[in-house]
Amino acid sequence: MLFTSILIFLVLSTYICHNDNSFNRLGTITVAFITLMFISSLNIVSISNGITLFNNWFIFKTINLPIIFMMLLFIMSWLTYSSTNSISINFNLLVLVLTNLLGLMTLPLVNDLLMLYIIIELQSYTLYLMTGLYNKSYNSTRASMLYFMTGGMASTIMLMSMYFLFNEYGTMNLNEMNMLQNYNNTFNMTEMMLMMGLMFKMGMAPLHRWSMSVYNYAPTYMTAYMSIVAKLSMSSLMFANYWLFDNYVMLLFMYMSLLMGAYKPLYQMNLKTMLAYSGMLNFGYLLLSVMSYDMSYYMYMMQYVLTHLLMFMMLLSAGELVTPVSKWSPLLFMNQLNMNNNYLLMSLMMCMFSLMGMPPTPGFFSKLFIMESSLMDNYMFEMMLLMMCSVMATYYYANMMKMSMNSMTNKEQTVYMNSTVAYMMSVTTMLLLTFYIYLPNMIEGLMMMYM
Amino acid sequence: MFTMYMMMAPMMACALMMLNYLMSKSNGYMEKDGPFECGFTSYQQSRSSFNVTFMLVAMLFLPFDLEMSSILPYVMSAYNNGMYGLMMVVTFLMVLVMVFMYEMRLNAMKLDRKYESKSKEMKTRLYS
Repeated sequence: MLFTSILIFLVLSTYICHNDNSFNRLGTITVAFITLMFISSLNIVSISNGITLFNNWFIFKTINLPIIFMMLLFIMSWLTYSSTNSISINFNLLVLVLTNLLGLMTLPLVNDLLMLYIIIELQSYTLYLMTGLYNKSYNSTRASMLYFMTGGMASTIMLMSMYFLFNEYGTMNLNEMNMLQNYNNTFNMTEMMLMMGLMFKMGMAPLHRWSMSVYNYAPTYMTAYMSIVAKLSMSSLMFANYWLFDNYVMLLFMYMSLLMGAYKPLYQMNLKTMLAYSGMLNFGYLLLSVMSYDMSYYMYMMQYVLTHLLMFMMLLSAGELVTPVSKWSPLLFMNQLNMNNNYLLMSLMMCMFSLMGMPPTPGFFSKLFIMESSLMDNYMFEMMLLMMCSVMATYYYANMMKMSMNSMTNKEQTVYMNSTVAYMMSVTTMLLLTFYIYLPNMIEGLMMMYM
Repeated sequence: MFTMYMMMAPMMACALMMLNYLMSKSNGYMEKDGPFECGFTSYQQSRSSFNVTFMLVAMLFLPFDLEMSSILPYVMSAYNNGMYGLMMVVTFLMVLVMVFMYEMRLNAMKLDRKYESKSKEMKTRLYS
């Protein structure tokens, strides 16, 4: 369905007159239909052993299902923003997003090393193109070039590791390598290289410098997309193939990400850089749950996607209220958080509370489960470090809240927002605030997914 | 064996370069070391801009040529593959036909050099 819709939209985009961005609404409906087909074709009991597709190159297991579902929902919500007036018109956006979605959805399902390379390149290339889509902005073309260079390097590292893996195991199939690994007890650096390539692409410390620049230079609309979507699919790949990756090297990435993500943004005034570092910090937490192979991974993903969506929607819609820094990233600095609309700021504050880990918000529950599961697996020091870095990160989240408190003395003005965006934001805020209500039900369902 | 090769190849290159550096005489002056411009001294970078269509032709040659070479195995074994093979190759070609339609609609390779000066139009409008 996705494939045919890509082709159809490709041709259709040239035949339609593009005076505004309403073309993307068709895309949103298409993604909704894809989600519907995805849900209706699920039968967890029959998929639990895995269905292999296309000559054992893909395997469709229940491990990846929550992540794919969340990605579809996220992309639907993100696409609805593109039909507002503040986003420049570009008729290539929808095709690129759909192609990227194809890559993202199939990446957790790969079962073969060559397929891994092909799908990662598919996903990465469309993401590079999307970064530089609004080519009127010099910064975004710069971001796109940078992203291309560093992503290409990471793909080369992964390709070399695939050579060594094939040399070692004699097969390209990941399932077979899993079985062979039980009989073959050598320590080799090949899987470490594969993981390093993946971490490079995700933007984890200590290989994170490129991602800070790219997220800063790209327009805010694109940063909202690419700062989460690539990380989601790659971490899902790592979760599904946890046996392939060495725990100790992942520990290194986790330590560095936590320390960098907690310390570096303390001196930042740039909102996008701060959010990029906080994304790195959160994915550091996630690596801990990947290492203990626990359901807390799904919970953390769910609340993080929700929080991320709400945060960026707030940043984008607040761009019309403040004096913009530039056309592409209107709300860039922290002192611009002084705006007339208090309700936008309230949703931002809810996101900040969730990231900090305050009890009624979802961030607390997911951190609780991560800590519990890591304690059960004897990762004591890592859990304490998580707690300390979370407390350090509280400082810059609270700083953002303090900056937004300056707006309490402003006169109340009626500000008109796009109704679609207002609806999306209010639904997301409501989901965020009531997460603890539907959490127990979701936990029951998620237990079956990774067994 | 491969690691041996990986070590020997850079060592060979470095050895040859060091040999050149150590054993050669170099009497360089500006005329000799700079780029060759038919005897004239070059004042600036002598790269000029070219039409992007040339680049597009080169780049788009690659996928369409690979498409042709991907159809070759089917052509030789069409009978053995039967209806299934036909459907596969039709699907493959359908994808490529849609991409080609996209390229045609965008007029990606039109090479027009129409140069109209706008000031002429305004002059006639003022006087008529």
